[in-house]
Amino acid sequence: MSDRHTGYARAILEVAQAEGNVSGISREVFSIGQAVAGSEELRTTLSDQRIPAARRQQIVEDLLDGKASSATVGLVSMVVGAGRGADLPNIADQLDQLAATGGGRQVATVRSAVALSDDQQQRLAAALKQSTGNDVDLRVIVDTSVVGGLVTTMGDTVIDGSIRSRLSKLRETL
Amino acid sequence: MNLLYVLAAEGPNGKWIPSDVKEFYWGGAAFLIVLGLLIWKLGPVISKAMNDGQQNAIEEATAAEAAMAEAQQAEASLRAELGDPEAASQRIIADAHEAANQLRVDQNARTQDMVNSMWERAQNEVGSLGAAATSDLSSEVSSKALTAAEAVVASNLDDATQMELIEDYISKVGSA
Repeated sequence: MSDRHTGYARAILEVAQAEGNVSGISREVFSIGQAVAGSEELRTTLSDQRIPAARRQQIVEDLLDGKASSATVGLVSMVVGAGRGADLPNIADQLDQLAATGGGRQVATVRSAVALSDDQQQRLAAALKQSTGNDVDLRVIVDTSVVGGLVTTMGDTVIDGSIRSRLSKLRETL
Repeated sequence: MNLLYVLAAEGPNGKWIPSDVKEFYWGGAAFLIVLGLLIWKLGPVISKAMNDGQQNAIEEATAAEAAMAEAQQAEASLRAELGDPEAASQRIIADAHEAANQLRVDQNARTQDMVNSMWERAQNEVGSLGAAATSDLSSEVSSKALTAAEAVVASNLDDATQMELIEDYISKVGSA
């Protein structure tokens, strides 16, 4: 992470704190960052300096219309207008770390082959809190390469219960 | 003397001695003078010519003898060099046979070395290829088996199974 990413992340965090919705805004920014990371076309478009900033911001607002809070849309639009659209994944990661550190919480990135229901996310967060002793903010990423099961990453700790890892172990055994 | 015959034949009296004694004397004196002149002038020339001819003959004979001696010497030298032609021919043939045999022996040795080297290299390559083939086959079998396993797993991973895996994961994390 560069100082630039940290600077944008702190700016977003301060706005989120002012809005009183750090958890919600950081979760939404994380989701947007994941979307940008997974789409080369979106990443290129949002960082293309030949496209006027107003046009790029309009694209963001159209994409997020009804899917994120107005504060989140405004913050992401600000980042894209500054020509840092391609940096959104790193800014989102940095925001998560700053938000978790400031709130005494821990961010857990969960990869799953299928989407988790709210109930599953709450029970998983509770299970992780019971295991680590810290409050946990989940960031769920749907990743079909997991095949089945879940992979949770919290800092340097990885709890891998995926079918992919079992198949990899089988491949090593063979 | 021929001159005297001529003089005698031409004598007016038909005798060989002229009727006039003075004429005989003058004729004899003239003859002697002419003879003397001839001897005086031509004698050395004739003598020299005869001596030169004799000297030339001697030199030619000497040169012929020298040439003959040289030829005999060359013949002797040539014979010494050649020796017995039959023996020389057999010796040359024997040398050729020996060289051919040595060449054949050397060639056989080189061929044998080359064959041994090729055989050793071929054995090594076969060994390497065998190991590589075994490794490739093992890898291929593993890949196929894994692909088959993935296919089987994917076909069995319906929504219910996915949910079961997630619930199992949550319960294990909570109990850890």
